[in-house]
Amino acid sequence: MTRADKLILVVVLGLALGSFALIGLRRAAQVRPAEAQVVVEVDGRVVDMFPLAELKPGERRQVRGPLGYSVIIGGDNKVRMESSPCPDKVCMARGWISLPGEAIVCVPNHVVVHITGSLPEKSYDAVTQ
Amino acid sequence: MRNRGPRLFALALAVILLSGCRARGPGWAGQVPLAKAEKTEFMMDTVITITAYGPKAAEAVNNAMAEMRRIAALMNADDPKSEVSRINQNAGKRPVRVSEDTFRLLKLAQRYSELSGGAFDVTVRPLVVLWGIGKKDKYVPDAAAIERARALVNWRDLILDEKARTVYLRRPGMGIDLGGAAKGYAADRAREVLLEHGVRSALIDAGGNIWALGRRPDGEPWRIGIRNPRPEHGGELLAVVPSEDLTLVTSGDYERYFIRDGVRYHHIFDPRTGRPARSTISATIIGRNSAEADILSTALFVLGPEQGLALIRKLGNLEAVVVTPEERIVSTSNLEDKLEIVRQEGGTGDKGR
Repeated sequence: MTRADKLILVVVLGLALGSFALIGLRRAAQVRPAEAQVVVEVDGRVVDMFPLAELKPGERRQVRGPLGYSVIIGGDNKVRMESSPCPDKVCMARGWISLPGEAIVCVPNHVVVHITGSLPEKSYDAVTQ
Repeated sequence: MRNRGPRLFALALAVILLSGCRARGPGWAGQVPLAKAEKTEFMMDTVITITAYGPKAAEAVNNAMAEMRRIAALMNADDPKSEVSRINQNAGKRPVRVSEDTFRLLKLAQRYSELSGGAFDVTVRPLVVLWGIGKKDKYVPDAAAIERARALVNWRDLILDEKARTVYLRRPGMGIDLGGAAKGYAADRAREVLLEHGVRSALIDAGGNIWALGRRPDGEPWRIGIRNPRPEHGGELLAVVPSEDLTLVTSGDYERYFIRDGVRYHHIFDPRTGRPARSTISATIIGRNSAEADILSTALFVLGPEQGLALIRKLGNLEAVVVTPEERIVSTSNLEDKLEIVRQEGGTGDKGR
C-alpha cells in the first residue's frame, strides 16, 4: 500500500467510526428522559409551564380565560382542574392527569392543560373520542 | 495502475462500514429531522389540533386551519348568519342557495340518513334544541314536547336541488344540524390542504375526530387510541389501532351528558324515539372519508351492534368497533387482528389518575 492508500483507509475508517459515534450521541440525547412538565395554554398560547414535581399536593394555580379564572390543583405528581367558570364542567370531570401526553381541555374557557416529557408509557399518538 | 488492489479494498471497506448506518433506522431520511408544525384552535364547540411534518409544514398547517375555520363558519347552526342557519330560518318558506361545501355535505348526509333508515337524520335540530344538552341545566322534556319535536325530524322533507344548488326544508320549525358531520368534513378539507402543500405525515385531531395522514415521521404507522367510554373500568383507553392514511371517528355517550335520577342523558338522539340512544355507549368508524365516518359513527351508535355493524359491512371498505351498554367490545372481523385491546379487564380500574 502506498501512503495515499493508507491515508484513504484511515480517512474512511475515521468517517465510518465517527458517523457511528455521532448517531450514538444523537440517540443518547433523544432518549434522555426529560422531566414531566405541566403546560398551561389559553387560546393555544402557553401562559404557564412548570415541572409536574414542583406542584405540591394542594397547591393551586389560576389561569385566566375568556370566561374567568380556571383553577388547577396539584396532587402527588398529578394535576386536575379544581374549579372552572365554564357551564359544562367537562374539564373538572376529566379528573387527575399525570402522564406525558395526557390533557385537560376546557372548551368554553379556551384552556388546555397538558403534560409533556419523554413518553415511555404513552403508546399512542392521538385518541378518537 | 498497480495500486488498484488496495484502493479497491479501501473502497469495499468504506461501502461495508458506511452501509451499516442504513440498518439503524428508516434510512437517512430518518436521521434528518423533518420540520414540524403544530397549531391548536377552538372552533366548532371543540378544540382542533393539527400537527404536520414536511418542508412546508408551517404554511400547510396555517392554511389547513384557515380552511377549517371557513367550513365551521358555513355550518355552525348556533350562528344566525351561517348558511345552515339561513336554511333553518327559511324552513317552510323558500329554498336557500348555498356553497358547494354545504350542498355536498348535505347530500352525503341525506344519503346516509336514508341508508341508515333514519337512525342518523340530518334534520335532527328540533330535538337538539329541545333537549339543549350542555346548554340547559339537566332538563328532561315531557313526552308531548318530545313528540312535537320528533315529528319535525324527517330527512325526506329536506329538498336538495342539484342544479340550482339550493336547500329547502319543507315544514316550518324544521332544522338542519351538522354537528355529526361538519367536523369530519372540515377534517377532510384540512387533509386536502396539507396534501396540496406536500405534507405526507400529519395528524388532524378535530375534537376527537382523527385523520392520520401517511405514517409517523419515524416511518411507523400512527398509533390511534380509542377512548374507553367508562375510564373507571380499566383506564383511559379501550384499544389502539395502528393507522396509516386512515380516519377514525367515535361517537360516545360521555362527551356531553348529564345524569338525573341515576339516568344518563347524552347528546346523541335516536330520531325515531326523540330520546338519547341506548343501544351502545361508544361507536367508532375507521375509514378514508372523515365526513362519512362522522355520520356513520352516529348511525352505528343509534342502530347498535347488530343492525349497525350489519350496515357497516354492507357499505364495505369500512371498519368499526362498538362498546355495548354491558361494556362488551364488538368489532368488524377484519379489525379483530389489528385492534390492540389495552383496557385492563376485571380490575377496579385506575380512577385515581
